[in-house]
Amino acid sequence: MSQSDDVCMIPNPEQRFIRTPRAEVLEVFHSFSRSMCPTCRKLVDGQRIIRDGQVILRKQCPTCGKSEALISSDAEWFLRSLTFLARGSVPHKYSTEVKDGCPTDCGLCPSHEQHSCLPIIEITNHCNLDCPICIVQNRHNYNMTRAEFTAVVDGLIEKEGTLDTINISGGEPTMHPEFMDFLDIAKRPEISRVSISTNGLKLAASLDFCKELADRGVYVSLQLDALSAPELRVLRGSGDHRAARMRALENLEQANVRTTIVSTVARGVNDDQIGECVKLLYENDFIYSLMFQPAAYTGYGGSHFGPHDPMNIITIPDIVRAFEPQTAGALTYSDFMPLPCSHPSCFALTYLLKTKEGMVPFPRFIELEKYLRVICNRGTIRPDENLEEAVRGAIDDLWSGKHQLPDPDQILGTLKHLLRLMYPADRVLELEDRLQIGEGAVKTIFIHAFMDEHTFEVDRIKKCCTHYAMPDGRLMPGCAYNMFHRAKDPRYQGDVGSATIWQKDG
Amino acid sequence: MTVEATGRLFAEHVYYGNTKSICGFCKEPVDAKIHIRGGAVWFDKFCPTHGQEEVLVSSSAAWYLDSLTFLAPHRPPRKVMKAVEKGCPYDCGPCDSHQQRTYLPVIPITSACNLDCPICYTVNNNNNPHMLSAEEMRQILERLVEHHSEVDIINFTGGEPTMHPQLVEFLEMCREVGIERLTVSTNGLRLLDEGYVQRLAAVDARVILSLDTFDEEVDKQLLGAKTVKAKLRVLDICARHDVTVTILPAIAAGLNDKDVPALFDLVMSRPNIISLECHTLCFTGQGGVGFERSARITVPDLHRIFEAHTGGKITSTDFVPSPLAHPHCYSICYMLLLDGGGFVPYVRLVGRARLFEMLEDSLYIEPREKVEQIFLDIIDDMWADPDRLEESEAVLSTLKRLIREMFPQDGPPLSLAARRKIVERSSKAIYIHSHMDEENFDVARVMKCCVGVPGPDGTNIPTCSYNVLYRERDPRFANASMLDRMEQTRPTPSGCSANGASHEPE
Repeated sequence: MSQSDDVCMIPNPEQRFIRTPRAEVLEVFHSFSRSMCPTCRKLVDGQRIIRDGQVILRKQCPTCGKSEALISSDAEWFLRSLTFLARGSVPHKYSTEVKDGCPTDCGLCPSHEQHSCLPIIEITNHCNLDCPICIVQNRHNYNMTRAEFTAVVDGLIEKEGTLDTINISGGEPTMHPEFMDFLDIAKRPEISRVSISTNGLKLAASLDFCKELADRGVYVSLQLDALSAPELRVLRGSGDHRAARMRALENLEQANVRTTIVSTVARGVNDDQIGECVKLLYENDFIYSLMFQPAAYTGYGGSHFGPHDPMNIITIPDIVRAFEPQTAGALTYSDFMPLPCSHPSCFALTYLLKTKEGMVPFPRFIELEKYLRVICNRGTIRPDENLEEAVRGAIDDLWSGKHQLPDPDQILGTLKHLLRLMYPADRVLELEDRLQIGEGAVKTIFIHAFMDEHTFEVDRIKKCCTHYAMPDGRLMPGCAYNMFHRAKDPRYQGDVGSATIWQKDG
Repeated sequence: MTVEATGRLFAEHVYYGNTKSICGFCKEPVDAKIHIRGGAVWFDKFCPTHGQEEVLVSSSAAWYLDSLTFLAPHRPPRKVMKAVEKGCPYDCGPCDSHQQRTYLPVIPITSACNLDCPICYTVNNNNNPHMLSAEEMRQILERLVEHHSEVDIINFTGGEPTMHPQLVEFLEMCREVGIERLTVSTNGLRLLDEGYVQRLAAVDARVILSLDTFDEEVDKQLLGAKTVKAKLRVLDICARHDVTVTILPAIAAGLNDKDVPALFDLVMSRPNIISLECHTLCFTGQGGVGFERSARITVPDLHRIFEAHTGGKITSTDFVPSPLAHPHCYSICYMLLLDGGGFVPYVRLVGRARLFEMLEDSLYIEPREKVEQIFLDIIDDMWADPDRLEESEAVLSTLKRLIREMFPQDGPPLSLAARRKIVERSSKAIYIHSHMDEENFDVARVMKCCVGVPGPDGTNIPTCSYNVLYRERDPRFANASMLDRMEQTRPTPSGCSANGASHEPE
């Protein structure tokens, strides 16, 4: 099964797990996991245990005793995901040494197993919301300087060479007084896309602001969560969030900003609204992708967010399973797969081909397991030779009638058209141009699971590809930073600043 | 090395996950990243004091991953004896982190030994040696029966257990408390005394004879003495008294791996020899710590030896893990001896899932009623599809005879012991048992260890923890001069390469 010269280990789709009869009724020890005591926050020994079809992280803390947390509600998904393996990509430079071990040495130290596929630059810790589900701690006392921002961007290019995406976040990044200038600084030939993560209040308030983003080619990740007021109040606090989000979406559409809808999904709060988000993606051309994030119960808000039962949380397969009933079968469980270039427990995704008759998930016509290289070392689809090979393979399969699809001609036509656009007979397009064509033809649904004190595993940190970029040049694996380093970040020390929270008394 | 389109390099390995090991030099806990490289599996460890250490854990990634697809339940110990303080493996045992009961207790009854083997993986003290007292033995058995009612086998070891004057008495004590299988691990030298063998035969003790090679020079390198001729005489004596024997070689790459075929043939040719238990050489203890590391061999290397020797009559997929142990600890092949000569691995008769299931109760196949059912199923299969196996006729007649003999139609049913004898004389087994040392130590394997060293106080220490960490701190077994000798022979961090030189990655 191994292909030593290749980038990906190709999982065997025929892979079956052999269970003794009693494995169905008793616990099965799966593996060791260096994990975290949810009480004293120290790293402790843990075991991944399969029980009742779920995967439990069982921990023993010398001080606080035993605890358990759910890490996957679907043992079959979990086991299969561990067969999705890809080589990491090595950054040009590391910022720290291997000295005291993981996760103290972040970051990145040479022992880290993946490059910074998705760097996040937090340019401010000011925020105009005080979300009950917030997983960070906004102290309202820091704005990144222009010099710091420039150094961060230079540092990223030095380490990565070229970058598919950088993400500008906060706090609420649009509150930074030099926000637009920073977008200009980030416009570098080495960086394909700049995205911002925002709560959308500024976008709702100003169509002109959205137009400025569109002019700069910026991608917007809009925190949406739901489109109904009671749920939004639970997740985001007081105020008419529904109206603000609707307005933000209108303005983004009118300005034609390429948009990602981000939804933090909390058990019992908005886990019935996944289908609504899919509907938005299917019906709006300006929405390119969806990102679902199972709620993490950590940080300033999240650690107090309730009710929280660590044994009854949303995990990646819960979201994967929710699509079928909530989309009337437009999306199903088998349309999704773990992302092999991150740790497979961190991401899952599917791609959707836009045809005249609607969206068709890639796995229905491309054996993605055979073409894993298409998504290796990047979460976004990249129209390179790997994709071309996969698409050509899919065309052959469609011709031969291999897949039982209701409308194969529609897909065949779309794929052939796509290839003609990307690879015209008379000239060779730049990758960037093909990227644009690809984006117009393919939409994406991601699921990204952040860890909290209950679900933290060193195993996953070592292959993390989502990194916070620090002004001092360090790149901090996201969950390691949130669990262990954020509270000590010198930028955020000092008194908590004053904050004006939107519609606080609304 | 593959270069990405971005100019970054792909890592040379695939990161599979992270486990906990111990430093090969100071034995402090360290992270071990599990890397797949060149088709093999390596631990990449880092100790803040002694730096990086790379260890080969499996010469085949396919075997390593395949083993993990076998899922069997664990059963946490009935009684926790130690509090979790320093974390696994320093709190044995069992502490709350241990997830499995003891199915095979191993009792070192003496520190005396009449050899000083260069490959010895324990620590022995011959100076006023420790001899377990009958009272301590009584207490051990009392606790065992209380905490581990499932125990049906016990193993006596040393030092050299036959140097304990009360060994036979201890065996009788075990028999009295109802333990069925009594095994004695011995170098065999005392068994040249035929009277002694008769006494062992009288209590139906089974002999596990260390026989590593037929080459006197290699024997000298491994054991520091030429013992082959003596051991072959011992085998004849055991045969005369119908003592059930297991041949146990410790395999060192480049030294006695060449002897495995002849050892296999020996086992197949003698009715009273029921199994071949190959240990992969283990670099710990008074000898092993200083033994040449190029001798490191891993489980799949042995699979390849059996495959080559039998011309494919045994291949790696004819082996299954033990459901009771961690799947990387045992690799087991059962064979049915055919009436009229030849053999067929049980896997080819019943499939891997069914064989794995058959092993669930014990490290050995017990001829209980379900075995009759499985034999009947095989007979049905053979009738339905006689072309499936070349040997189907011989299989049919052999199984029919076995059923007739084990489950007679008329007359009283046979005792389990009588049936066991019948099935054992028509079966052979290969066990590949891989003990750990401080270099390839994996706490995941310790946490599901079913082999333990019980104490009179009811404690139980998993054998690999015991060999690597606990025995050398026990003054009954270790003295200062031996510990000094070990420190002097332990490779230095810079000079240590724990990488087997002779393995051939796939």
